[in-house]
Amino acid sequence: MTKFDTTAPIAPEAPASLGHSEGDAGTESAPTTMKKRKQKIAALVALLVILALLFAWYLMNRKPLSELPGLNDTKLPHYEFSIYGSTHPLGVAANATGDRIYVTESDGQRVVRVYDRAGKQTGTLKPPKSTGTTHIPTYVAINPTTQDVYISDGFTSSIYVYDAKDTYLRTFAPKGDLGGKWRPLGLAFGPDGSLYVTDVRGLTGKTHRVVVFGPDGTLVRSMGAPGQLTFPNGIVVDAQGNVEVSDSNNGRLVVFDPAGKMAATISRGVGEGDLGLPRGAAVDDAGRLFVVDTADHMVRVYLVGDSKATPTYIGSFGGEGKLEGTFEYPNGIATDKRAHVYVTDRENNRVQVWGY
Amino acid sequence: MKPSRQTTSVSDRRLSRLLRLGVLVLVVGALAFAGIYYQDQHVSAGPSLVDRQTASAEQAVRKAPSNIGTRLQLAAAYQQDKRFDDALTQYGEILKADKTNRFALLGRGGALIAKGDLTAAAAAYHKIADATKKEEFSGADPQLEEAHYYLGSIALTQGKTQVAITELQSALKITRTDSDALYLMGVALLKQGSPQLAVDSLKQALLFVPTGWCEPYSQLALAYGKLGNAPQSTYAGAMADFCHKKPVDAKRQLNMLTKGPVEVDAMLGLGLIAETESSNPEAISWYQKVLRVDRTNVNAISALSRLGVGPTSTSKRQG
Repeated sequence: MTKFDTTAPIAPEAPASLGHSEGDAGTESAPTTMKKRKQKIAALVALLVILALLFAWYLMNRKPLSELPGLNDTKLPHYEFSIYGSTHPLGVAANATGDRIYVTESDGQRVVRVYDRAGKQTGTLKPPKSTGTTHIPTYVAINPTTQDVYISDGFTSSIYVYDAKDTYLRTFAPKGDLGGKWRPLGLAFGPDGSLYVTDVRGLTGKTHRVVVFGPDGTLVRSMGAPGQLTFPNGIVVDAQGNVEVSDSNNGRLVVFDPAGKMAATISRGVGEGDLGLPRGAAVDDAGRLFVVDTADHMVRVYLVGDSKATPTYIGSFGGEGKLEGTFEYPNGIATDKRAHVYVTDRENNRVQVWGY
Repeated sequence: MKPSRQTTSVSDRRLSRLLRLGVLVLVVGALAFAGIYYQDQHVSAGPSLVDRQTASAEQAVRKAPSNIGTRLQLAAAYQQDKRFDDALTQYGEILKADKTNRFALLGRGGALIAKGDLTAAAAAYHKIADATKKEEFSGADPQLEEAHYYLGSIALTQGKTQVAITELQSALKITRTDSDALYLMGVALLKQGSPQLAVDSLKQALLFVPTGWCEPYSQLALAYGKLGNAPQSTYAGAMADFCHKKPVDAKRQLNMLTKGPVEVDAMLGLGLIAETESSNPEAISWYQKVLRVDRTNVNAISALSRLGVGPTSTSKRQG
């Protein structure tokens, strides 16, 4: 017993679909369905293209998606993790991909420790015994053209150079008249491999300055009139060729234009974005300038590269403490090209990694 | 009509397959991207500094269980990690060996306050006071000062105003510049019904911490209100507004006070606000106006010095 006879012809009165008249039932539903399908395919293709573009952008940049072009570039980074194992770290530098992080250790073994991107130590840098037995590695920078690593030594007043495989190459020998002994402190490179050094020779600020060497080590010029800078520390060259210097004991940040003329300052003070005791400075490829304010245990963030000579204050991160994301006398700072910010947290014996 | 129907259904099937394939590619692609992204971006944070310190202190105590120093470090590490019961256990062990160990008593007091047991905390602080008040250097003993401060703070919370005043007086005898003790003393004096003395104490507290501390200004406004001193009360209220990040309200009120009995305070306040807004020329201008009224005003002189304007250049500017 079957309830329905499947071979029976469909009565002409029975409409193919509700709401349609007898004549147009079959001819109108097909194009409608087709149109809907085409729309679905178009949406799918669009989504696939977006996904492919996103993937391609990510493979090229390896940055978090929050750094996609067009998104807000005035946001502040968030704490990610810390790298332990260095004693009273002062300076830090990272290569473009962030998989070689160099940290100068001012106490303990006083070496430069090399970490991978996960914070695992992969090597140490130490100058040969011929350079003396006592060293205090202070600031570190990576030459973008050769990948050589330059380290200033506060005890021997020298700059030691290593290659990317941690092999000591030489002690930097400036070509040209420096006007006597020098005491290199902060280091930075221009995009062409020019080396910028803050020189703190002499006990007073009268002889403190910034000296610039060409890629071959020839003295090109000095910046900062006598008495203008007092214990300049961190230094950085931004994409516009401006040079930002932490004029540490004057409590300010000085901006020199590409010609070496003082173009702007961010002063000491209690206002938003004002500084106390600035030390390390770094700039990322999005034009964000980071200045470590060691006395306030914070990092101040500014934007450079717009029409204004004075960097625009965005905000600060950090604060005093031992918990994650807080500092005890931070000093050095570096960025890579994957939206990471590295800060030496001196008294907490760690390097904090922040990201976007 | 028949062939057309067939073509449509073939095309339909193809389209359906294409759609399904596309969705599959999209889902697999998105999942693969998410996986690669996570693996590439994620770095395991590992134990925190506090966890590391705690683990290291625990190891040190296991090695030398009778060493009071390592026990104190462990208790402090627990306390920092908000593990108050564990901290109290360690303080207890120390006090079994050394009944009057001040560091352990202070730590115990702090942990008990954090747990809300004020009576037991007060007992710990009293032990310090009883043990040290007759010692040779009790007049300059920072631990004794801390004990008196907390005894005052607990008494104030418990509504024992007179006890609080006595304890805070003892703390201030040891450290006259303790701004926290000065503030609490102001609060206690106000509760006791001595607004003028409260004003004196609160003003001293604010001398040491003039910005970023709102409560003293709020209390000062109340104290001036009780004294019937409307201009000063308005001034303190304006500074409290400024402290609570309402600079527009603060400036409006202070500007109204620049020609009256509290003109100096109002102009100093406006100078301070200008400084925090990085308007240094405006701040200098307000401080110079203060010096025109009161040539020896220490606050204005030190503020100008902070802004790099010496007294000489100030007088020259005044012409």
